[in-house]
Amino acid sequence: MNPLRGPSAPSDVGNDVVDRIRDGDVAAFEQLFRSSHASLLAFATSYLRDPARGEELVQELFLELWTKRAQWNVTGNVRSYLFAAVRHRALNTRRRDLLELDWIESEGIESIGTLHATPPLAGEESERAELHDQVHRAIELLPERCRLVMQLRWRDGLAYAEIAQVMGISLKGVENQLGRGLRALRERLLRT
Amino acid sequence: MASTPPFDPSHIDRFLSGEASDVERAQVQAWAAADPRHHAFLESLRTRFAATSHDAATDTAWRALRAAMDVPGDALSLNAKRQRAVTRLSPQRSWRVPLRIAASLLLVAGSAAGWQWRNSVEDSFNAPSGATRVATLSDGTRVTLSPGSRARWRRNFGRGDREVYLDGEGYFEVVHDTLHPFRVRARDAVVEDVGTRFVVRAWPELARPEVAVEEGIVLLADSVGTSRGVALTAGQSGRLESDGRVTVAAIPNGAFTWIRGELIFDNAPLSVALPSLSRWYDVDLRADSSLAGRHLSARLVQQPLPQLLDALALALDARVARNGRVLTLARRTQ
Repeated sequence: MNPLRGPSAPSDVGNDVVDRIRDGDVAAFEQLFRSSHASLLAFATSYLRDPARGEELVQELFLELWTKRAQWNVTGNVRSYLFAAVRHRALNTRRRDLLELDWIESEGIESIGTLHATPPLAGEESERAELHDQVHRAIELLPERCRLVMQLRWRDGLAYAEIAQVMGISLKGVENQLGRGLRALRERLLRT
Repeated sequence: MASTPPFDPSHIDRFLSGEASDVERAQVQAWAAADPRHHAFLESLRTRFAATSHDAATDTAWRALRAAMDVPGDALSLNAKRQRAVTRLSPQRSWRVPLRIAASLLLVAGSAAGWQWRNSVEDSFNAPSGATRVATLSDGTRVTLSPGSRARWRRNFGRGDREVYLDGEGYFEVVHDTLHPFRVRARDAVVEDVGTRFVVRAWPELARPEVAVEEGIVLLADSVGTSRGVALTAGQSGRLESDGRVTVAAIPNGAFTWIRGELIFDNAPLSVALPSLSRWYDVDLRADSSLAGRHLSARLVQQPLPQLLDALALALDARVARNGRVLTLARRTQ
């Protein structure tokens, strides 16, 4: 059991929900949406940096799923399908942004920024929080693909095979991303 | 003394994903216990990748989607359905108008004058009332925003000069890069730096924008460019006057303490202190005319609101009247 996995864990959604949605079952569609919305939104927002655009993307995806439900088919598991679809749309959106904005970014390059709340701290806590801040900052400086693999693995609880399918890399690639990422973080931490 | 357990990425991965065996979990915990930095490392990963349920607003999102699904006729494009779905959301949820819509509005407005399609699109972040926010820019520069503040920068940040537009108050830890000057624009001030740590204060209620330098050197000038700018070094603060001159002084108390959650008011007029406290606590603090001209000297470390109000009442010899979100201070009459 993954203690970190939030309430949006579409792992329990079997592929029979695809059949029901194809038949026009709104309740099944709602169940799928509710069980995956938070995870997909977080994933989309990781790519697009903006929660509003992330929400827009997820809405568009589900709206299109519903509109074209008669032809909807999923090989493999639904969860990987949805994550992969979000990634596909997010990359397309960024490509379109690129054309408009003359801005170069790919999954391999470092991120532009991060947002995390730093509420005011009492004196004793500030040293521990400083360490946290350093690690969080270091995480944001990791290559994007590495960070996304970490998110899919530790936040959303995806298996190696699912991550490989979503991100379009090999199983070994998933392992490498996690291992190299953790080693890089540790090195940065011990250097300070 | 036992040696430190080794760092094992695959064990840590299995630990964080909940798949570790008892032996693996014990090894990771031993590694964490061996050094507080190891423990912080693990905790940071857990918090960073923890799923939180409360910020997804799934209910609201489902209602919007459901409404969009109901729009009759496939003649309606997906675009129109989506727009309709977005506008049906409750007003409390602050979703911005989708970028594409904003861009086309810009097009229409500009067409009379001869429009430019290439509108500059920015990234931004802001700190809401009641909380600070930190962001790291693509060059590694770190920006901490005080509650109610906002920072914006162009998408091409880092490829040319590095410029940030600030509303409110921000603490900047700038990464050194002589080839790409870093500038903060706030009200009519331009703060240029090469590699330093400094705070810019540019609240509307302040008479003039102010800069305090913690480390390094900045140049403070007005945006019109009347002069090259005045250099401020560590320990100095500068105030940009309306004629472009800069008044240099020592750093006031409290210039940097807010970053760590300590608020210091040193003989501050209420017209400045109360808006600041209002933003920090996400309330609406006011003073009636009986306190006109009064100043506040106080040091507040992580005070919850009731203690804050007690401290204010004591410092100003006042009482507090509450009307919803508005808290009004009035001179205590005998």
